[in-house]
Amino acid sequence: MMTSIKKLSFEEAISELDIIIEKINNDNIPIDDMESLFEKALMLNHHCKSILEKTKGKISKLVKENDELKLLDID
Amino acid sequence: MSNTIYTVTQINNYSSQILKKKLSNIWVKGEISSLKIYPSGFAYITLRDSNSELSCICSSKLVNNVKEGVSVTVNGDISIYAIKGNYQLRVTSLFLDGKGKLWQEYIELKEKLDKEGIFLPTHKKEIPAMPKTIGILSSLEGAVIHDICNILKRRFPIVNIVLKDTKVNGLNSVEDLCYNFDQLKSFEKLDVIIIARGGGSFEDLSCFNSEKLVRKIFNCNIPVISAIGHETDFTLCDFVSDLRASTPSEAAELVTADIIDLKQSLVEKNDKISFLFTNYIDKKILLLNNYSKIIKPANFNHILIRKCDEVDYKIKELINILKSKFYNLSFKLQSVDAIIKNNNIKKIKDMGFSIIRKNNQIVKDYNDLDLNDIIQIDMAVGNVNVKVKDLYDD
Repeated sequence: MMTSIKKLSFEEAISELDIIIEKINNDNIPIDDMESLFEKALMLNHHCKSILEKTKGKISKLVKENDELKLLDID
Repeated sequence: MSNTIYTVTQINNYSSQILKKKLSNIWVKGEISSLKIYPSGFAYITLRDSNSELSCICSSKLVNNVKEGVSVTVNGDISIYAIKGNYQLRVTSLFLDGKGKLWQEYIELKEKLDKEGIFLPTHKKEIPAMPKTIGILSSLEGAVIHDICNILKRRFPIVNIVLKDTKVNGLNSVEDLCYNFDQLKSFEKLDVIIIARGGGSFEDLSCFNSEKLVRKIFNCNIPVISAIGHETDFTLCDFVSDLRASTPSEAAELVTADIIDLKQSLVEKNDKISFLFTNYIDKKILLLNNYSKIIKPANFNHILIRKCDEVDYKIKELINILKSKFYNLSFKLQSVDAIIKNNNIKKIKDMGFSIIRKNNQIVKDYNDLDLNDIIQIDMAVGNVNVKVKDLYDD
């Protein structure tokens, strides 16, 4: 399960997390489903936190060289 | 006319609402008869023509190069200063009449594009809530680009920024803007484009009123945010863009979520998940407790005793059936034993009966014999072999 979660972008993960929170707000969920939803929600939350803490965006400059667009890092 | 009696405040507020509806975004031409600038950052102007005067209020930045006695054309909304009950024009743009040609072209182009529907809200594309990559079209010299990048990296450090350098005023600026805009939008990974420039005069910003650039923005598949000049500057790019930021810094804030808020939101979500799960488990435990109360120990013992009695009865019944079968079987065995005893061969032989065999096979029928056959007679005591002399029926 964690492998597939790791592939999600921050926006996708947070959107899925919100859906699960909505689901577990319902008392009629069977206890086995609740356990797996709870586990998935914690993994998604951890994944989102990890993206925020570990990802570092780049600043690049778009230039055209020999009719080809290239990105030059300027960080 | 209704008989409603209004308070002064009510009628001023009501009039203000009507004026805002009817007289917003209007253009007024006149001469500045008085100009007062206050430290608060506001400027008070009186506009007049040959017959009448109009009070105006605006940002002091708008009147930096303006003096009393000059003719101007202003754009803004009529509103009522409710405390005094005076009405005034809130000026958002101010143009000296000396640059009338450029302004006239601006107005005519704006009307033309407006009629085409290019500025309609229905054409506006949604700005992504959390873009991964932001393209910025601006001059890479000067403070604007640094301000935007600093704000973006502070608020949302995970975002990628792609900068495209361009002229933003002066000769060939329109061509350069369009050329670089095309290159930037062809870079496939962009989620949103910001077109940015710092403040300047109407002439300085005029390249952003180019029809060619406006149409390029309109036809762009990527959402565009305009961040040109100050809050009071309105270019045609502002009208056609999917979102207008009053300043470049505001654009950086509008396009990104704050990472501190996001982290806090994750903590809150985590707490909510734990709360919901604990609450769910608590409810299930409560439900179990309720069941336990229904099955009281006394009732349970009663049920258990009754079930034990039933089991005892069944066992007794089973034992009776088994006993009966056993007796039947025992009786049958005794009978068989008696038969066997009664049919004891020795006893039969003792009674005088003999067994006849031919070739060791017991003979029961005379038809199985022929004349002169040698047969064995097995008696109670001893055996004899005899020859058959005669055969006849009883």
